[in-house]
Amino acid sequence: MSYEDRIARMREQGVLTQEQAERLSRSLGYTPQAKEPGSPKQRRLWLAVALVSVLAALFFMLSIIPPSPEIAASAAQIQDVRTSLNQPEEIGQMSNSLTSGLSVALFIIIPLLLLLVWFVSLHNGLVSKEERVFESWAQVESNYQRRSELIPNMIETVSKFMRFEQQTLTAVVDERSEAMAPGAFSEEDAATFRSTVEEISKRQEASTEMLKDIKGAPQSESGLENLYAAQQALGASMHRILALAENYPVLRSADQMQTLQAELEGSENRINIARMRFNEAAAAFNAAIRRMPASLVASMGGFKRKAYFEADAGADKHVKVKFE
Amino acid sequence: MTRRETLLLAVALLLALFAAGYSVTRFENSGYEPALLEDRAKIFGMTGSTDVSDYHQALLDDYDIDYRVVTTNDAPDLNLFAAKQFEALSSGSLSTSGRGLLLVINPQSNLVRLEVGRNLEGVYTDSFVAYIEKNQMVPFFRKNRVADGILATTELIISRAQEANRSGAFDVSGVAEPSTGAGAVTQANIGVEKTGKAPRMPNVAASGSPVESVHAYISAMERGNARADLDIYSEAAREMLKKWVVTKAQMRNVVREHRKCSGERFSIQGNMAVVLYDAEPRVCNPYLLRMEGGKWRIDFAYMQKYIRFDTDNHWHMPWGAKEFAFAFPEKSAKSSSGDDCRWCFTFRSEDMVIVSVDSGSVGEKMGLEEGDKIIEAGEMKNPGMRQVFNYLYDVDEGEIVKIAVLRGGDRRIFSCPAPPE
Repeated sequence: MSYEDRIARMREQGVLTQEQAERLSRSLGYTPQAKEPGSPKQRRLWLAVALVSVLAALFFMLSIIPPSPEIAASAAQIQDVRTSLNQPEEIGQMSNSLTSGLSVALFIIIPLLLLLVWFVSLHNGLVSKEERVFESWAQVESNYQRRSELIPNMIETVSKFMRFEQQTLTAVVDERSEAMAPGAFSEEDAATFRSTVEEISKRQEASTEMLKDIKGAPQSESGLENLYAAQQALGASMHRILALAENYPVLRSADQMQTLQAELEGSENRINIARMRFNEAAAAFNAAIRRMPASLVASMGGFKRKAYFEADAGADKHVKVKFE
Repeated sequence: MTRRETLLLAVALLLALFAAGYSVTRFENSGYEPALLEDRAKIFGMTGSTDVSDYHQALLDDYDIDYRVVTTNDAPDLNLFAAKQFEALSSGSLSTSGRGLLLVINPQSNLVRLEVGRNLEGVYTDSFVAYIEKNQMVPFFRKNRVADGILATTELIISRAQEANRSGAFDVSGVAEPSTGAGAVTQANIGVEKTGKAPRMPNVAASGSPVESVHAYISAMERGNARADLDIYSEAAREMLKKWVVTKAQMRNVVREHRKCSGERFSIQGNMAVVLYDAEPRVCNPYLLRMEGGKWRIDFAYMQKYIRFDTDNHWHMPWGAKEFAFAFPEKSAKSSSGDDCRWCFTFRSEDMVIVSVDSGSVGEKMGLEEGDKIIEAGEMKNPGMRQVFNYLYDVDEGEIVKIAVLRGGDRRIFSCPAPPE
């Protein structure tokens, strides 16, 4: 079932307010943008390389073609093949133009071309490092999104238990529950449930807005910090909803709750791994653009430093719920 | 500098550049043969580690799943460690379709994590992994049976793989890639007995009809009733089950597989009965029952001895269940012609003790007796179950087979030429 159907149904049943439902469907509808294909930076560079190569070839051609017929004639009159070819010590006149062409090639064009190749490879190295940063950021984004997609299911599952009376509750879970003491949510827990749902819908919307503002990869450390804090807060609220089950043995051991718990933990681990990979990619890129001589290329190519998550970002502190 | 020298120099320069590029790519390709089990924390016994390696080799051969196990004592964050190890060991590279699983155990931090490769994520979801860890692996770990916990979990991984094969859920053209952090982590609790009382389960009464006793057993499993002293078990079964680890996942598996079975029927001879099912699917094993106290009770002790399961969870009776042979006319015909039985003795995989030797068999002629503990097979010391199987079944006819056993504390060696295959 799609999250939209779920949200609509919960709206009808009064689990969500109109406002909450709207916030959720708007923010869940956001799909991380695919990066624009073929970065313009690369195209510009190849244009420059082609231009320089054509110029170099032209230069080379000019240097081996004898100046012009009149000048050549006036300078050397009629060339005497016997003298120009058979001089024992010196290089013949006839090959003079070729020799000068070769020396131009050796001392100017080849070094120039090598320099160009080197420059291109430096630039491409930076491009692919930046590409990796973009890719790994896309992973972080899609994993945040993956966790958010659990929200409708989570709220619905818990709300079902909240509204059900005792006899329905036992029918939902397996027969074993007869041995335990089931019960509907207390007034207090119901209130917590409502306020947490409100919290989730707001936090989900806020963190999605922040994600939308980041294009390609985050550039500012403070923006990233805010996003991290917002996502942490969202995660904490999601754990709080699950924690409500703690007081109800029947609910706690229900398969659906166990599955949700595993999926939430799984999503959070994916987020952590994606964040670790993003940090590694961003650090590698940042180190590369600071180092000489790539830093020259970087400043010419308009590469900018990427922000990354603070070192202790892995140490999450949210409500831990244990299910047996 | 002459022209020729110039040209040579230029060519040499170009060659050097190419060579440099080539050597870099070559370096990345140099590989090594990875081990399926790396016990860095030293928590496996000899037989345990060979059993796990062997079983996981079978998983690789039959289902193309590259399942590694790594234990460690120095990984403060096991989740990050698992993802990094998965990449470092390039888990999944042994599989032709890049299917990789990695189990990491840290006894120090009391955690176990099964990391799932990218193209197995759809088959082994996070919640499935969490479920088999908590409900199948950890119950064995609690009894200090690490290898058994892993083997029992691999069984469930296999039955899930069979379902995926049937439904086409596997990605057949994948390549090994770093994992995305899929899988689940849970407390390992190795050697930590469960505290707190489990809810007391009701007894389940045996019936005057063998089929009904089996049904009572299935519904007890459905309720998660792991009591060893249920009325539906024979006396011998109760004795055996006392020491048995029965996990939630196993009980659910029994129920799930039983739902697939059709053609339920029974045959009775004297105080013995067999409830059996159609030949397909082959996960539907027969139940052997005995009349005790006027009721039909399932004899799991006897079933454990005679009904075997292969790596596909398919049952077979390699030596025929002597007493219950009346229900399997085609089986007993076969075993008397010697088709199914080459050595005709059975041993327990957990402690390598021989539990039965068929009369008139090669095993008996060799001198093996019930209660002997196998300690050597050929040149292998303390072999595991699979090693003994491979040794006994790969040997050519007439070759001298040597088995050393422990009998009443003495080491005894038996040998004889191998019978025909």
